[in-house]
Amino acid sequence: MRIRAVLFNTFIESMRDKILIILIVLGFLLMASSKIIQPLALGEEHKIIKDLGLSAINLITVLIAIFVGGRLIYKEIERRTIYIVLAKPIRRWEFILGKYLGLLLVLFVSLLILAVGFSLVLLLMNIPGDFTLLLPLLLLIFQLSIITALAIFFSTFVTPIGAAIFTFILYFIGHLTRDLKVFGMISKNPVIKILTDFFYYILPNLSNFNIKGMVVHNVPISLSVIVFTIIYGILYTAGILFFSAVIFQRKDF
Amino acid sequence: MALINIENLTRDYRVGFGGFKKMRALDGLNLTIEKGEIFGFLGPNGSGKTTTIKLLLGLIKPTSGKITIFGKSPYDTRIKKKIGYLPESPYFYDYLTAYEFLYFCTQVLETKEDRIDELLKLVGMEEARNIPMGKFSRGMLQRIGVAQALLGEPELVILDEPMGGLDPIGRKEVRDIIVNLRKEGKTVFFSSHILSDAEMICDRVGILIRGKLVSLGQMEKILSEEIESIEITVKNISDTVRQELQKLALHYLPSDNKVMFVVPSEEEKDKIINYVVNNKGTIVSVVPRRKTLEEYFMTFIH
Amino acid sequence: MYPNKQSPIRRLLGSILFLTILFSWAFLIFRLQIIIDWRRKKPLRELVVEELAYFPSGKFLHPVVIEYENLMADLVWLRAIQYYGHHLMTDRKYTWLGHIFDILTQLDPKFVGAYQFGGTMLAWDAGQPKEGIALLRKGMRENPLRWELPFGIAFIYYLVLKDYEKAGNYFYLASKMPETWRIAQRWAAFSYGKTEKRRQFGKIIFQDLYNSTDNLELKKIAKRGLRVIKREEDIEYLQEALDKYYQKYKKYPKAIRDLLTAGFIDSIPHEPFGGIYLIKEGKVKYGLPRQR
Repeated sequence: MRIRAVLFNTFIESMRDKILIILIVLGFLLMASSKIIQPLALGEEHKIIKDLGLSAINLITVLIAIFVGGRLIYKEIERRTIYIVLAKPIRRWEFILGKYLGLLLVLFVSLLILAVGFSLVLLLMNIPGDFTLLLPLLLLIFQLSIITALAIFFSTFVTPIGAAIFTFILYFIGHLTRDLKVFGMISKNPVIKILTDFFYYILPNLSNFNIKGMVVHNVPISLSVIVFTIIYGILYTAGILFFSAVIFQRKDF
Repeated sequence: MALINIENLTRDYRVGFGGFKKMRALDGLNLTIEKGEIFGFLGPNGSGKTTTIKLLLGLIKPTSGKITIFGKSPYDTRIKKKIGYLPESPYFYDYLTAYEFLYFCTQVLETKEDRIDELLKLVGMEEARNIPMGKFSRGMLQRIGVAQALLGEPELVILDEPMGGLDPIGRKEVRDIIVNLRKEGKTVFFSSHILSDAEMICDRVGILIRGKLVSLGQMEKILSEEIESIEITVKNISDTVRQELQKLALHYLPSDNKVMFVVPSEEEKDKIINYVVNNKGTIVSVVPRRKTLEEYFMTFIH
Repeated sequence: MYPNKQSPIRRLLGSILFLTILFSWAFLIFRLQIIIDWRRKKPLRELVVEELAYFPSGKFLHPVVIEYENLMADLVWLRAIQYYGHHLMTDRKYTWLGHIFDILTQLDPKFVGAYQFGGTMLAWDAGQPKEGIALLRKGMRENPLRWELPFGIAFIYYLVLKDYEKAGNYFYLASKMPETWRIAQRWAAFSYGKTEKRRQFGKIIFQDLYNSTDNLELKKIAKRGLRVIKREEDIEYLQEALDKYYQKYKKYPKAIRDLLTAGFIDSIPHEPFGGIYLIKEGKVKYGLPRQR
């Protein structure tokens, strides 16, 4: 009940923030720009439009997660609203969970809006496709859940800019983990092998969630891989949130 | 049983590069707050009042010392239902309306929404019910702040500078609310640096200077002990009598047929009264001039 | 200086001044950019492609694009098309084509269309059949079940390198793939047959090429090929009739029409490029249409 209150509070606050509207409109613009490339694409415009749509949704929601997430706790402290809320009978972990879930809901709604826009574009341009095109978006939700958790984690102990930067760096590295592992496999140095393996498993393997290419090329994806990836996402998120709660519990305001 | 029990409470902050230097915001505070009193926690800016309040609410941890509220630790969420709190200079959520914000508070408190309209009326904000709080003036925010503090019908109300940003009418309204709370059997703990307000409503005051509690006691007692001077106004006395009385007084003020003498203490006052009465004069008035709380306060500032 | 204190005329003048400044600034920026572009020796199109030259391979591009490698591949594809189109109209030199497609396919190894287009253009237009084949082989490694790729290699061996055995091998490979075209089987047979009726098979090849792709450029190439073959066939047909005429009348007719009236041909074939057939010094040739 209390968590829900913070959740909806966060959701409403964020949805009414103009930055969100701008980002979503940007997403639509990106998708609409695909009309321009049609004459230039030499028969590949279907692929390009699908790529553009999925990438636009992906990029916009990740940006929202990083920038809005990084500011979430800071804003409460700056406005002193956090004093009022924490002085009430709500546990600190409940507060953080509420904020996190509120932002996740914002991302989910934004993603839904953009996905509808994407489907419209596909329909209007008579591009054939089925629901498998939306599978990357399903995994995107879980990638976003990790990124948001990281943004909130950092925001408990650094400034919003710092949180955004660190989260972005982890997003970046998270997609390079496969190369890291390969590097370790090639290297003859056992120390490097151990180090790369360690980081490979510790860092969030965000490349697991990237199936955009496979879906656009109609490569079959096994259902079990998707399920395990989702479970990975949930587990990793839970871990980050746990550490965030621990830090938040001990924090002085 | 004391509502709040503070024992040897100390709070240090790390300052400077690398955080090696320590700044002591609160130094060995000992204080108890009793049920049903209005307690004024006074001191200049930066004296540690807000730090104390944050410690009371479990927003920060003490460096050493102990606090119990309602017999429990400030971190215990069970007691928080009984506490209403208003921070200093609050902003709220820009995009929520006053009603939505108060509704949110009731959800967190897990109480019913019935009180919202009643409280909006109490603080004079019913008309601003549906206006987003980003558009509120300082005074309006302060009023909503008071409203949210009272939402859960708390037994203990903690207010950090409740008069901040209010015009004289607003300050009177807040004073009235605080006095009313006491009538309802509630306890009020508030901090302020506006001493005239405190003088009017507090039962007890504590004065905090640079983290140390330099004075603690009943308001009446503090003020009565500090009689500065007594003004005696008399009439129908002859010039000779007047000249005699002048010797006892600090100074005097003639006006019309009356004369006012200012004497430093009760002793002189008694002498003058006797003398006037014996010489068939008339005592018009006897007014003891107390130090205001402000003047009393200033003595601690050197 | 508050606006509501000024008279309407002052306000109007103020707006005009503001707009004048705004447009002057925009104009200056515009002119400056044109000057900068003009002073640069190379055209924008070239630069845009040469940027890619700085990436030794697509491997280094990969980290930069995080998880958007497909979109980046599309961007490179668009640039590649621009590059190709531009050089097709000008100097027909495609120096960077191979490199671009290398990067492109590194970013998106499953982009079958890119291998097809790149391999074909390298072999036909850029005169680099070996590189075209290498690109298509790379595509085969990443997309082992796509028949279009070995089919493309087979074409290059058959029509450009004229290595019929290798062509046959690749046609055979293509025919063995799931969802393949049965026609690939036929092609394996022809190729292995090493028959002399190459032109006939060339016609069928180009027709098959035309039908097998949605890519407009490839379709154009196929059509062109078909027309060239038709023209060769027409000329051979008319030449045969012309020789027969000469045998009978010991002289050559003035125009093709005469062959028709003399009964040596059934009809006058249309020149596929819109020109006409003529007789010159005992040989049938093709030329531009003359005014009638």
